[in-house]
Amino acid sequence: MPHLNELHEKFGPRGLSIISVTSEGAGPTEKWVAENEVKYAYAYDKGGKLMRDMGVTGIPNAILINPAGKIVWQGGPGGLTDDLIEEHLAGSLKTPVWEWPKEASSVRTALVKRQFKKAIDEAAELTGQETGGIQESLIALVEGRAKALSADYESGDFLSAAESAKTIAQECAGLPAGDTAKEISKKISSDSEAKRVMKGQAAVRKLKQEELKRPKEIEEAIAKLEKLSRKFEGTAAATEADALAAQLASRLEH
Amino acid sequence: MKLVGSTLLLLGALAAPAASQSEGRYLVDPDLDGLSQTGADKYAEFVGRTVLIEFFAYW
Repeated sequence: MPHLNELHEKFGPRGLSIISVTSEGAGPTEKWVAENEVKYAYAYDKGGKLMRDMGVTGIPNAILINPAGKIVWQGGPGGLTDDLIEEHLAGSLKTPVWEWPKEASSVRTALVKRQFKKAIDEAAELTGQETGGIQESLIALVEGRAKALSADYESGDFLSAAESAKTIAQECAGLPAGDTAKEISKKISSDSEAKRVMKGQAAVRKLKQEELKRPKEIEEAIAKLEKLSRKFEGTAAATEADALAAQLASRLEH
Repeated sequence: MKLVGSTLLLLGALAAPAASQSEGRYLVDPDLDGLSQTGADKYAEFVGRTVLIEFFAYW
């Protein structure tokens, strides 16, 4: 906890929000939060739904999400370095929407609904000194999302690019980022090799979500991943398969 | 039962390094109850922020 308090103090003003999530009861959790002087946000994950969805099998565990909403890191909180956080702060809102002045409430509403064009248009109408910079920060946020999408596509991570393009095309309709997303979607859907790689990536990610407990199950998964790696050699699917196989092999060793 | 589940979870953490199960995925506004110590009412209000979600237990 002291580590996360430090991160909260250091990176909060630069765009990082920390939320500790538990599936335990409120009474003992709140007592613990007070005793440990936790300074950042916390919340309850009823029934551990989010934890299961994120494939968390042991705690503490953490995920880092970039301003585009993509999970860019997962692991033990102690393994989270300042450099890693720095790397993913680019384009994030320095001031969270709940700290914006009242005059910007319509911008906040549009943004929370992920209506980026409306939010930027509304921000252009703001004239107060306190609201200065909101429009620029929203434009930077949208541009950052488009840049991340292009990077996924250029790196051959077609599955992430396709998922992201769909969301950005919808949320950033009427903005250049929305056009970029549509263009990338079109390129992917007309590229047979991209579609082949996506099938391989989907197969790897399906294996990622499987709850593998027994050594035999893990060994079988590794064999499947090795097969996928050979079949999709030189592509993002093979890279993902190799990474997951290495993680599973490490579990077997332990 | 709860204690057994919690113990198993902890043992899981000690027995194996945490696998990066979710990297590369997009997180779409999860349902979180009782958000505290923040001005946000729901996860969607963290829009545009870099977010670190830590899974923890008080024990």
